[in-house]
Order: sequence, then structure tokens, then C-alpha cells
Amino acid sequence: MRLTRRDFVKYTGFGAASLLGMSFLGCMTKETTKDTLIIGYAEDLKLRGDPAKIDRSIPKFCVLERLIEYDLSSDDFVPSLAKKWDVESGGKRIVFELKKGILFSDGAEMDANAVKFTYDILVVRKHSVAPRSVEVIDDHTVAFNFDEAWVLNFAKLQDVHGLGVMSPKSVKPEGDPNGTLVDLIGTGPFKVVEYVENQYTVLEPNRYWFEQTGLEPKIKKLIVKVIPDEDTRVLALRSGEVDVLIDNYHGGYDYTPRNQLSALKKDGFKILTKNIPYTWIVVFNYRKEPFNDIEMRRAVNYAINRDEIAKIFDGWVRPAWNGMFPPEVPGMAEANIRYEYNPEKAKEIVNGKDVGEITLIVNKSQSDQILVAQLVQQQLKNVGLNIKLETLEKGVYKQKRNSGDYNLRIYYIGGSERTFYMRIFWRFLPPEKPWKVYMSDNVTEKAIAVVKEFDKTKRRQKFIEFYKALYEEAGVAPLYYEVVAVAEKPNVEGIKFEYSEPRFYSTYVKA
Amino acid sequence: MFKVIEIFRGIEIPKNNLCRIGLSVVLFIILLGSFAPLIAKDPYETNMAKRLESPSSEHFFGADQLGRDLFSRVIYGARTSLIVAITISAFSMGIGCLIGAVSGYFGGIIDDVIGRIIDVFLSIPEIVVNIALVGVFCTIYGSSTWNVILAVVFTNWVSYARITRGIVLSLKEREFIFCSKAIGAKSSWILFKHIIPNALGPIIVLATLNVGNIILTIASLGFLGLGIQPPTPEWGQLLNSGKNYIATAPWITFFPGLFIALSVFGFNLLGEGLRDILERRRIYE
Amino acid sequence: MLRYIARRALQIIPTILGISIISFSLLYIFPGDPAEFIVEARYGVEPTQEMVEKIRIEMGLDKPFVVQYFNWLSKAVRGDFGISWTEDKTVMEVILERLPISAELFFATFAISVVFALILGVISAVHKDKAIDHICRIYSLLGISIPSFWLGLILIWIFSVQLHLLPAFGCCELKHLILPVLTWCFSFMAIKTRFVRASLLEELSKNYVITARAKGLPEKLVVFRHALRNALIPIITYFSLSLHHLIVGSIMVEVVFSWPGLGSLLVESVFKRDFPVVQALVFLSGVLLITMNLVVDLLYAVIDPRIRYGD
Repeated sequence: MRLTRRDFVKYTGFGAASLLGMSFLGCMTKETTKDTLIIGYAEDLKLRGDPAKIDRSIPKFCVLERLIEYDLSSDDFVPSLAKKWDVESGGKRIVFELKKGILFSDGAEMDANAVKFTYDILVVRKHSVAPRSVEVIDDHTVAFNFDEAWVLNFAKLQDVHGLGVMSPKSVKPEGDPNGTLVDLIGTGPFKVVEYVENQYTVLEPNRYWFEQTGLEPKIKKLIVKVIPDEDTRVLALRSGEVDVLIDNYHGGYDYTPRNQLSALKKDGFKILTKNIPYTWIVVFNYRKEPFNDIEMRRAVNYAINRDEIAKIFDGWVRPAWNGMFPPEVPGMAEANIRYEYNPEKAKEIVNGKDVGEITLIVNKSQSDQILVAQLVQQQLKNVGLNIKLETLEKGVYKQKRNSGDYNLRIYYIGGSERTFYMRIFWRFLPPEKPWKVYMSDNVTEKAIAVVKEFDKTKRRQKFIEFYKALYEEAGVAPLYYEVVAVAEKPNVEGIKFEYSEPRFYSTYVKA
Repeated sequence: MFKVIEIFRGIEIPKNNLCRIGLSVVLFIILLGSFAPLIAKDPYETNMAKRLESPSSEHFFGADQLGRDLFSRVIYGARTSLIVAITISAFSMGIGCLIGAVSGYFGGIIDDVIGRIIDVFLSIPEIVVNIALVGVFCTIYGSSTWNVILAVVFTNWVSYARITRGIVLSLKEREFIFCSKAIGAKSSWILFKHIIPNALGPIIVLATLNVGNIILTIASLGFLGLGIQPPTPEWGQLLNSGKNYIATAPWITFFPGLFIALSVFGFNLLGEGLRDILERRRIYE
Repeated sequence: MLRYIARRALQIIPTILGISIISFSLLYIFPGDPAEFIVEARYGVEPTQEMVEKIRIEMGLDKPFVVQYFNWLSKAVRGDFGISWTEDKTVMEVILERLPISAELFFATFAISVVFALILGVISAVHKDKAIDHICRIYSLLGISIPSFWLGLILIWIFSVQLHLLPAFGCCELKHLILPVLTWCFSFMAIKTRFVRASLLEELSKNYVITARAKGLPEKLVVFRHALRNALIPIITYFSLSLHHLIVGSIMVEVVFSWPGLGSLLVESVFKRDFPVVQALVFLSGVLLITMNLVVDLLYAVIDPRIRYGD
């Protein structure tokens, strides 16, 4: 136990030397070849555990397919895994006939049981978009029962919150909707071959899908890398760590910051964008002073210069002058709405009123929205409104939103094409919830009328009435129309948008 | 003030190289901060036409993502950093010195307990607790400047307590305190007449170095997005918002960082210099 | 000797208790009901009364504070910090996943800093008050003044953006390691250089050095064989103490370079409000520091018997 000084020095020296050696041990090597595409993505795909919690973007458009899709340009629900359907009981029951010969990536056939299993995952969880029940009629016929006779039922089926049709073998115990997800098996163009939670997922082409479509996979591997922080994701693209950045545009966060798209483009990256029916807005706390006053809400709408706000994003997004949705949305162009930038009028309205300090809250997980909020604050200041800006953590933002502890907040309505109807439900329909943006007897009634109507032409008319009512009451202050964006290295080719979702089945990477 | 000059042999400050440079840097930053409204424009005024403009004779440091004048934001940032840092330092000094003096002066069980508490605080990495605490505050209540102040004071008082305690303990053994006690001086008299003046030197050195450290801590928190929130200009947070533009508009990152480094360096130099003087004086005595 | 070890080990217990209290209380600044939050974070749904109740009982949140604290502590000393609020893993699993990544960064920095700090410190001390000494001193002040996140960004700007030499981000390959290590070394080395210089100067002012010089020993031998050798003991002690930086030692560097180590984990967990992970990291970093202290003290006692009998 006795050490001399000399020994002590010797041993510690030896220790230091071995530390030096150890420090270089951790270095690993990794291959990146041109038959692999690496995608940078904000969220873990959640391919284990609760099957109702699977990520809402990538698994859905790579691994899984849905019964039906929604096409915004024609406002139609179109077949996908379902061949055709009948609407019964005035809309409360929908019977689908499935396509035959569709195979899961494990070779088993996709049938009515798989569909029932998938939707039962939501039914047993009493999910807000779940049908009341699912019945298997025969191997290729399945019926859904709903409580209400709404056209929204279609939207619920094609935007199964986080799901597409999956094999009952995906969970353990097999076929149990309460079971644990162990291996996601779908019918889509890719299958999961490796999944490491919070790090990456490796996908490979599903040969059955390619055989069926007669296409040839041009890529051997698709790696989805999880990089939660938006700045880090952009850095990853710049450093060549990933080839493509994909938005998670289910909700208002986790996308490639729009304020950086120009810089990326300037540095030689390709930016693909597609317009989606998605609008960033200022939400009023319309139950509380001073914005329970319709005049005050109008004043805000007059005070906002939407051109300037869109300028933050260098023209990648469009300023929201003509209504709460972009003009390509059903009925929007016909509604003929035009917001006006008129600071003088806004000043006039504000002048006579003693409104005190107004709190504007913004979720700070997106640098975009922090910038937007600061600009909105300045614009409102210019018409005499004294705005206190609170840049809040996601959680605190939610808390304040839920408790109504704000006057104004930055938020969004709409979504990808697929979520368009659902978002009308989630933002404007009763019951009153903190994430609803505006409700009044008139507007709510018109919103309900929209989601009830099965007939397309009549529905368009109801849309117009809904938009107009919302505009008349200055229910929200639209800021700009969002896009969905893909940022990719110049040697990536063949990413296509389908129903505003990027698809990779014909993607390849040039050497 | 008079006391300070006396302690550090006022004349020596300009003679000491470290002090001279440090003091000029510190004074420069303080002047910038205090006369910000005269030097700079409105740091909040946006002008989308000038978005990401590079440095020019009109905008010395260029413009940021909303076309705000970066020079003005950096100058006002000095104000924010200094006010917050000095507030934190003052609170910590008050709390720390009081606790340290009480502990050292009364000794016994009080000293044991306080000594242990000081040990505990010294053994947790400060920045970890700061981040955890500010994080907890700001993910629960939302961020405010007071959260930052509270969280930093929570860990920062310890160094003052430790140093005061040490000084008091050593002074207690000195003859002049014994004499004072012998002639029946009250505790408060001894504290204010003898102990505080003697402790003042080291505490001022500590405080100077401490302000530099706090500026760095605040900037770190700001950079993590946990500190003072936009639109209030704060250096760390300016850096944070600029890091996305490092390839296209590096000036947004460069200038705020330069000012953080400069002011921390200034306070460190001054602190070192003062310590040198103090040590030399001790050797003379 | 054993008695000394036992006594020193006992002495750190109250300190560890104190640290545990601080880390545990972090959770209790939480207003309202943590159970509600856990339900939301874990299941992503609006919490129902029965779910909240279930979690509350499952996590023991229905018990009084003191009971909860002792439950937590008794598990924590065995390395069990409970289950992460946001992931279906134990806190320890989450931490152990990140530890090797942090270790890689830390040991690389540590090794390089030690070598260069010794060299710079010795040069500085030997040439006291010469130009080179001033440069070294200014560097050691700059090292602690320049924010590492700024330095990191500047290095990114130079090496990644302008020269396209090194990646700005990424993990685990040698080329990814260079910039973060460089950044961290700048400050890590500065403090150590300063310490080496001070220790060596102190040793050089001692009588035996004067004797050695007086008897005409070459300056090289005086410095390297005598002074440096004796100075090495405090230096090594000080260096080994800094091993505690292994756990969350470089938060800012890790964040700037998105290095997925424990520092990033701390920040992420704070943002995700995964408080058990935050608690565990605060606790572990404190315990590691104290343990390093203890080990160093004991080593000292092994070398120098005066210490163990003296006090």
C-alpha cells in the first residue's frame, strides 16, 4: 500500500497515456454510398411500443398506405388501398371494398382483418378520430360505423392519427390492438429493416410494392436520422451528414426553418416546396378584454403588413391577404375576401380605447415564429398597441394557451392536404378546447355545416359562407400561407410530392 | 469609494498594467451601456428592406433578420448584461457575505452547518445547476429576467460566503479584535469597524472577477435560449439567433460574441490586477 | 490508514446528502401536479383523472415529500433514478447511452490539454516576466474569458463554411472530434496552464531550489529534476480533479457542435421537461466531483503520511 512519489508520478503518467489512447477508441467509421439516401428528420419514428403513437409523417408515406387519399384540387376522396366504397345510413356507415392481391412487405396479403386491426388500435383507445366500430364483412370488405353522418368521417379514415394500414403481425401479441408494436409491417414502397430509438431507422424497398407497380427501385437504402433541433438539422445538411431534410408538418413545428431556405439555396442546395392549405395566424383570446371586441380584432388585421412578414422568408411563403386559406382551397377564391393593410384605420380604432398592456405569446421551438412574433409586435406597436412579447417554451406555451393566460398568440390552421378537413374540426368545431382558434354561434354553425355536407358543390357553397363569417367577425388574423419543403443536396434526384407529401420510391442519388 | 482607493492604494491602480487595461475595458463597456440611448438607435425598430444587410457606415455591425440595427442591439445588450450581472453580484454579495460573516463570527454549530452547506454548493458544477434551475423555471413559468437572476444567485452566493467566512475566522484570532472585545465592544461594532473593512479588499477582487463570470453565465443561458428572451437585446441570445446565419451573415454572430469576450476579459484583467496589488500590499505589511 | 479512509469517506456523506436534497427539490419547484404532466408527456393525450391517479400511485407521488425523497435517495444510491418521463427507458439507460460519447470528447480534450498545459506552463514559469510569459498569461486569461460557444461558431465559420475542411456537426468520427476538442481545449488548457505556472513558480521560490542553484547545478536540472518533479504532485492532483468534467463538463461545446453527449442531454431534458434525467445529472455530477476530491485526498495520504496522522 506504500507508494513512493516516484511511483505515484509514474502511475499517473501511465494513466494519462492510456486515457489518451482511449479517447481515440470511440471513433467509428461509416460508409455513405450513392445507393443510400440519408434523410434528416426532427422526430423519432416511434416504431416500438404503442402503435397509436407512430410518427405521423415518414412511416405513413414510406411504409404504410391508407385506405383513401384526399385530393385538394378536386376536393375529392380518392381510392388507395380501398377500391371503392358505399355510404350507408345517411353517412353513418361506410363500406369499403379493398383492392385484391396487395401484399404486406412480409408477403402476407392485406385483407379486411388487417384493416379492422389497424382501426381497432384507435377504437380501443377511444381516440378522437376513431370510428365507433369496425366490422369485417368478408376478406375484402370492411365496414365502419360512426356516430355522426358527416363527410368528415372520410377525413377521419384517411388521416388515421398516426396510422396507415398495418399487418396484425406488427404487434405482440399478434393481432391485439392493445398490443405492443414490435415490427411495423405495411404495404408501402419501403419496409423497416432496422430501428434504433431516437437515432435512426433504416428502410429498404419493399419488393412486393415495386413488383405490383412495375417500378424499379433506384435506391437500396433509406436512412432516417433523428435530429430534433432545427438548427442542427440544417447544419447536418450543410456538412453532408444527411442528403435531405424533410418537414414533419403534422403540427406547427419541426420543419426546416423557412428563414434559412434562401441561404441554403444560395449555397447550392435544392429546395422543393409545395403549397399546402396551412396558414399561420394570430389567434385572439376572444373571450377576454380587449379582443372580445370585434373592432379591436379588426384593428389588428388592419395593422399587420403581411408582405413584410412574408419577407422574413424571402418569398418562400405567400402573404395571407385573401382569407384564412390560400386561394386554391375549395371555395376560397370565390369567397372573394381581401384583407387590407391600413395602419391609419387601425390607429383610429385603437386611439379611443384604453387597452393597457397586451400579451402576445409564441412557442419558441421555431426560430421562424420568434421572428414573426417580433415583427408583429413592432407592427402593432406602430398603431399604438402596447405589446408584451413572451417567447415561451413549448410546454409553457401550451399551459398559457390552455389556461387562457394571453391576449394574442401565434398559431396555425389547416395542414397538409390530408389533414385539411380534420383541422377545421380541430380548430373551429365544438367542444371548446384550448387549441380551437375561434368560435361564435355563427361561425361554428357554418363550420359544422361544412363538415356535414356530402355533396361537393353544396359543400363549396358552405365553405364560402364559413370563410365569410369568419372574416366578418375578424375571428383570426391570418399572416402567411405555409408550404411543405424539402431541402436536398444537389445530387439528389426524383423526390416527388404526392398529396403534398414527399415520396421517395423513384429517388436516387447521383455519384 | 474612498475606502476602496485606500485599500488598493489608489495610486497603484493606474500603475498596474493588468488593472489599467482591465479598468479601461470595463469603463468602456459601462459607458457604452449607460449612454446607449445617445450612441445607438432604437434597437427594436424593424426594417424589412434592410434584412441581413452587411456592415456599412450606416450600420456599423450590419443588420439582423428583421433589419434591426445590430450595433444598437449590441450596445443595448451591454446594458442588459451589465444590469443583470451587477444585480446578481450585489444580491450574491449581500447574502453570501452575511452568511459567511455570521458563520465565521459565531462559530460552533452554526459554523458547522453553514460550512457543510457551502461544501454542498461548491461540489455541484455551477452551470449545471444554473441550467437546470433556469430550465425548470422557464419551462414552467416562462422565462423572465428575474428567473435568471434568482437561479444564478442561488449558486453564486457561495463564493462570497466562503471567502468572508475565511477572513472572519482568521481575523478573529488577531490581537486587535481581542482588544476590542476586552474593552467591551459590541459584536456589531467589531463587525462594522474591524471585520468588514478588512474583508473588503478580497471581496472587491472576488466581485470584479465574479461580474465577468456572471456575464459569461448569462450569455451562456441566453445562447441556450434559456435566458433573457427576445426582443430584449442580450448578447448570448443575439448570438443564438445569429448562429443560423453563420454562412450568410456571420456578423450577427461575430459582434455580440466579441463584446461578451471583451467585457469578460476586462473584468478578469481588472480582478487579477487588483488581486496583484492586494497581494503585494500584504507582502509589504 | 484504513481509519483515515473511513473517516474521510464518512465526511463526504453529509455533502452527498446535501447534493441529493438540491437535486431532488428541483422537481418540487414544479407547481401543480407532476403526474398530469407525465401523462401528457408519455401518452401524448389530455390527462384523464384515472390516468393521473394511476401515475401518481405508480410513481409514489401521493406520498409526503420526505417519504418521496427517501424513496428516491435509497434508489439513487443504487444507481436507479426511475423512469424517464418522456421515453420508455430508465434514466440510467438514457445516461449510459450518452456517456461514451461524452467520454470520447472529454478524454481527447483532457489528454491534449494536459500535455500542452504542462509545456506552456513550464515555459511560462521558466521565462517569468519575459515576453513569452506575458503571452501565456494573456492566453490563460483569454481562455477563461472567451465564450466557448462563440469560439466554436468562429471555428465553424473558418473551417466549415470558408475552408470546407471539417464538418460543423456530427459525431463519433475523428474529423467530427477535431473542432469540438479544439474549442474545449482552448478554455480547459488555459486554466491548467495557469495552474502549472503558479505551482512551478512556487516550487522555484523554495529554499532547496536556491541551494541547488547555489551549488552550481545547471538550470535545466534545477527546473526539471527538482522543481518540476515536486510541482508535479499538486499539478497531477489538480488535473485528476478535473476528471469530474466527464459528466456534463462541456455543455456549451456539446450544444454548439450538436455533440450528443451528456451536456446536450441535460439541455434537451430541460427543454423536454424530463426532470428525472435533470435530477440524475445534477446529482451524479456533484457526486463525481466529491468522489474525485476524496480519491485525490486519499492518494495524497498514501504518498504523504503526514496528512493522515496530522489532522
